[in-house]
Amino acid sequence: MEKDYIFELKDVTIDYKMKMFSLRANDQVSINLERGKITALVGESGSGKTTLATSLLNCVSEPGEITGGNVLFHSKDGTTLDVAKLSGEDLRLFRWAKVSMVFQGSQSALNPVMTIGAQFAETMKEHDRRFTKEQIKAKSEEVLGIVNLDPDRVLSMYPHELSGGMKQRVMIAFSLLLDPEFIILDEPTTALDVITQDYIFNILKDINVKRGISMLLLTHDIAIVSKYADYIGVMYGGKLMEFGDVYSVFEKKSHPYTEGLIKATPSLICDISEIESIPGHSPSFMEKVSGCLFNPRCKYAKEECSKEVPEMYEISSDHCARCFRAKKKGESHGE
Amino acid sequence: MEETTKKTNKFTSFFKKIGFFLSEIFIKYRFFFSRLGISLVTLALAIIFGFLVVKLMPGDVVQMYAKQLADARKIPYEEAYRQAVQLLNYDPSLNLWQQLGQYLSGIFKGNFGVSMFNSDVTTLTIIRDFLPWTLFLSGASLLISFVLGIALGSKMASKRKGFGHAAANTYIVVSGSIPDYLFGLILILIFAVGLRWFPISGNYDILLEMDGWPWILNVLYHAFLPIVAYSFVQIGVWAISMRGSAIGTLGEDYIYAARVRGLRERTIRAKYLRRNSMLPLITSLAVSFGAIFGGSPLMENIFNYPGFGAEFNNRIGLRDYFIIQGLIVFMSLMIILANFVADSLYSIIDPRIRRGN
Amino acid sequence: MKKFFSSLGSFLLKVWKTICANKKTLVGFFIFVFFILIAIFGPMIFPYDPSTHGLNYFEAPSWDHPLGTDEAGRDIFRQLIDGTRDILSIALLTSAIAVTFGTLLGVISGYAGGWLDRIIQIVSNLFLSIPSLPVLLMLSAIFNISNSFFFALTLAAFSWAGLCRAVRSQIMSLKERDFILICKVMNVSKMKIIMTELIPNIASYILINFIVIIRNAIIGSVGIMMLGLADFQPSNWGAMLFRAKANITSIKALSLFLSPAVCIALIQTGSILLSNGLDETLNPKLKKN
Repeated sequence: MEKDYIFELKDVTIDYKMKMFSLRANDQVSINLERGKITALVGESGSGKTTLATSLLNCVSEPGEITGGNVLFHSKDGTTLDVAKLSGEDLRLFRWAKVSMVFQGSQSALNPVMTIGAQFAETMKEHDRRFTKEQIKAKSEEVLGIVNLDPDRVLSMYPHELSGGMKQRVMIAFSLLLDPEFIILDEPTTALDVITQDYIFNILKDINVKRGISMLLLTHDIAIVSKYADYIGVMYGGKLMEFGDVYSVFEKKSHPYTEGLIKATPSLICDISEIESIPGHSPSFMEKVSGCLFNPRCKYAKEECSKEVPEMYEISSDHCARCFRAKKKGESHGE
Repeated sequence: MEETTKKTNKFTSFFKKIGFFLSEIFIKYRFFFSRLGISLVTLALAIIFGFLVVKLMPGDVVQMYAKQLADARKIPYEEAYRQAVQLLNYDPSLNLWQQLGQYLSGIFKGNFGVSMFNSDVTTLTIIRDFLPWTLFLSGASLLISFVLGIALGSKMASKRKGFGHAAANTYIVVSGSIPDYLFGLILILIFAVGLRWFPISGNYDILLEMDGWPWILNVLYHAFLPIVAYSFVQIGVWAISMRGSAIGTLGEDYIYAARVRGLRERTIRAKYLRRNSMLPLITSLAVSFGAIFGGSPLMENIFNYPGFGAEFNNRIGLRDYFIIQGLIVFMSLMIILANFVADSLYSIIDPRIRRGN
Repeated sequence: MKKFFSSLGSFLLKVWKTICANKKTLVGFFIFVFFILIAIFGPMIFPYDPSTHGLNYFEAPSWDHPLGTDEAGRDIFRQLIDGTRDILSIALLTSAIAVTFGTLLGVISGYAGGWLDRIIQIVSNLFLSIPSLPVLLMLSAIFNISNSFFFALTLAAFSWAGLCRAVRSQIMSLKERDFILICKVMNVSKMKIIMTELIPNIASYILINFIVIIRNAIIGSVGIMMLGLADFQPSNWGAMLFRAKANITSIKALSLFLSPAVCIALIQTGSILLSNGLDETLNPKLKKN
C-alpha cells in the first residue's frame, strides 16, 4: 500500500551564499515524512538538520537559499504545494497555518516587549483579519489548556516572566494556535531538566496522537528518539545517511555513523565501558572529502569508500542507508 | 483591660499594615527610588559646584559691585557695600559654611542670582526671556533629527546594499566630519550672504510689527537655517546609534521567529525591529532633551539668535558672576531632571525593567 | 636587548597589519600621519611671521601667499601650518588625560565594586550632568586660558566620565567570565588579573575611544576658541574662524574661513575612518553582523 506522505522532499539542496564562496548545507536530500507520525532527525550540530527542517517552511536563515529540489506538501484537503517555490503573500499565509515550529532557543523567540496574549492575537490577526476578540481569546485559552497552563495568568505575562519549562510550553501552545497539520520541533527540550523534558514530550506525544498532527523532531538525544519517534533520519555533513522506522534502524544500524551515535549514548542498562565516542570530528563545510563523507572516521572504511560516493541503498521497504556495506546487506536481503 | 489590649493590638496592626504597605511600595519601585537618591545627591553636588563658581572668581566681587553701586546711587561706599551684600546675597566676611547656608536659603527663596550691572535682571528673568527661544530652536531640531535619524538608521540596518546604502554611509561620514557650527557658517555663507534667501541673524524682524500667523511664519523663516544646521549633524548621530541598535536586534531570534509565524514584514519592522531597537535610544533622547537646557552657545552665537546659550555667553563676557552661577545651577538642575526622567521612562517602556527583573 | 627589539618589531608588524586590514583604517591613519608630520616639520619649512602688515589685508591667493592673507595681512597658509600643532597637541593631550583617568577609574569602579564604585559613579554622574560647554566657556574665559595643557585639562575634565562608565560595565561583565573566575580561584593577585587579563581585553575598546575623544576635543576646542573666549595665538584655527566669522559678510574673508574649515573636516574624516575601521577589525562582533 502506498504510504500517505505529508511532506515529500526531493533532492533538496541548500546553499549559504557568502561574498567569496558558498557553502552547501544540504546536498540533494530526499526524504518522505508520513502523515500522523513523528519523524526524528538526528546528527551532530552542523550536520544540516536545522537547515533542512527550515526548508519545510521555506525560511532558511540568511544568507541561505534553497537552490535545488522540491519540497512537496500534501495538505489534508488533497492539494499539493511546492513550498520551495512559494513566495510573497502565499508563503506568508502558508507559514504557521499549515506548518509551525517550536524553536530551539524558545527563550528568545518571543518579542520581549509584548505580552504573550498580544503576540498570540497578533499572529492570528495577521493570518486572518476576521478573527474577533472572542475567537482569539477562546483559541488562546484552548491551546494553553492543552499544555496545562493557566490562560488568565499567562496571557498577560511578558516572556521574561516565564520560567524555562513554561516558556517551552507556551511555545508549543503557540505552535498549535492556527491548527497546523505539521509541527517542526527544533531540540524542544535542550536546557531543561530531565523531568520537565519528559513532561513536555508526553504533551507532545499526546498532541501527536489525539490531534493527528505530524511532527519532525530535531534532536541529538538518541534516548528521546527511541522513546517517542516513529521514524528516524540520520544526517551527517549535510547529507541523509540513514533513514527508516525506529525499530529497523536501531536493530540493524546499517550505517557506521548511526552505529556510532547509538553506541555513544549511555543507557541505564548498558555497561559504561561499552560507550564509545566516534573518533575524529564532524566534517567542516570547507574541506572536501572524496568518496563517502564519513570515510575518514569510519572504522570499516575500505578503498572504494574514498573513491566512490555511495548511493542510498534500500535494506528493507522502510529502511535505507548510504553505505556500501548496506548495499551488500540489501542485496542479500533481496535474494 | 482586655479592651485596651485589643485597642493597642488594633493600633499596632494598623501601623504594621502601613509599614508593610510602605516597604512593599519601596521594594516594588526600588529602581525608581535609587535613581531618585542618586539624582538628589548629584543635584546637591551641582549646587555646591555653582556656589564655588563665585568663590573661585579672581578679585573681590562685592567690592567691585559696591563701587558701581556707590557711583550709580550716589551713596557713600559703606552704605553701598551693605546694600551690595544684601542684593547679591553674598557676604565675604562670613565663613564658608555660613556663606553656603546663605546661598542655599537664597535658592529656597527663589533667589538664583542678581545681575551685577542691572538689579532688574535676575537669573529668573533671563531664563524667562531667553529660554523659550532656545527650547523652540533646539527642541524642534532635536525632534526632527531624532525622527529622521531613527528612520534612516533602521533603513540602513535592514537594507545593506545598493546605492541608497552607499549614499547613507557617505552622509554619515560627511555629517560626522563637519562640526555643526562650521556647517552653520557654511549655510550662512551660501544662503544668507551669497544667495540672500534667508536672514543672517535674529529670531524675527523686530522692525515689522506683526501678530499671529505672519509673526509665526517670520519666526520659522528665521529659524530655518539654524534648524537645518543642527539637524544635518544630529541626524547622522541618531542614525548611527539606531543602526547599531537595529543590527543587534535583527540578529535576535524573535525577528526570525516572527517571520516564521507568517507576520507581515511591515509589522515585523514596526513592532519587532523598531520598537526593540528604539528602547535604548529613548534614554538618549531624554538626555539630549536635558542638554538643550545647557543651551548651544556656539550655534546661537553664529546665527546671532537671542537664545539661552548666547545670553550665557554674553554674561560670561561681562563677568556677571552671580548670573553665571545661577544659570549653571539651573542648567545642571534641568539636566539632572532629564536624566532622571530618562531612567524612569526607560523602566516604563521596557517591561523587563518595569516588573523588577 | 635583542629580544626587546625583536618583540618590538613583531609588535609593530602586528600594528601595521591591523592598519592594513581595513581600507578605512589605512586612509584614516594616513590623514593623521599627514597632519602630525605637518605639525612637526611644517613650521620649519614654512616659518610663520606673526607680525601684521596692515596694508596687505585680505589679499587674494598668489604665489607668495598660496591661500591669501587675513585681515591683518598675515599669510593664511603659514598660519594654518603653524596652528596645526596647537590643535593636535590640545586634542592628543585631552584624549590622553581623559582616557587615562576614565580607564583607571572605570577599572577600579568595575572591579572593586562597593562603596568605591558608588562614589566614582556619583562623581562621574556629576560630570555627565554638568553642562560641559557652558562650564568650559566659563572656565576658559575667567581664567584666561592660554596654555595648551590647562586647556586640555579642562576639556578632559568633561570627557572622561562617559568612558569611565563604559569601561566599568565592560569590566563588570568580564569579571564574571570563566577565565577571570579561574584566576581568582588560583589566587592570582588582583593587580595581575587587572593588568594581564582585564586591560588587554578592553584595549581595543579604549583605543577606539581614544580616537573618538580626539574628535570631540577638536570640535570642542575649536568651538570655544571660535567664540573668542580663550586667549590663543592668532594662528590657532579656532581664532582664525573667529575672525572669519566677524568678516563673514565679506567675500574676501572666504579663504580665512575655508582653509581651517577644510582642514578640520579632513582631520575629522580621518578620525572617523580610523575609529570605524579599527572597530570593524578589532571587534569581531560587529563584523559578523
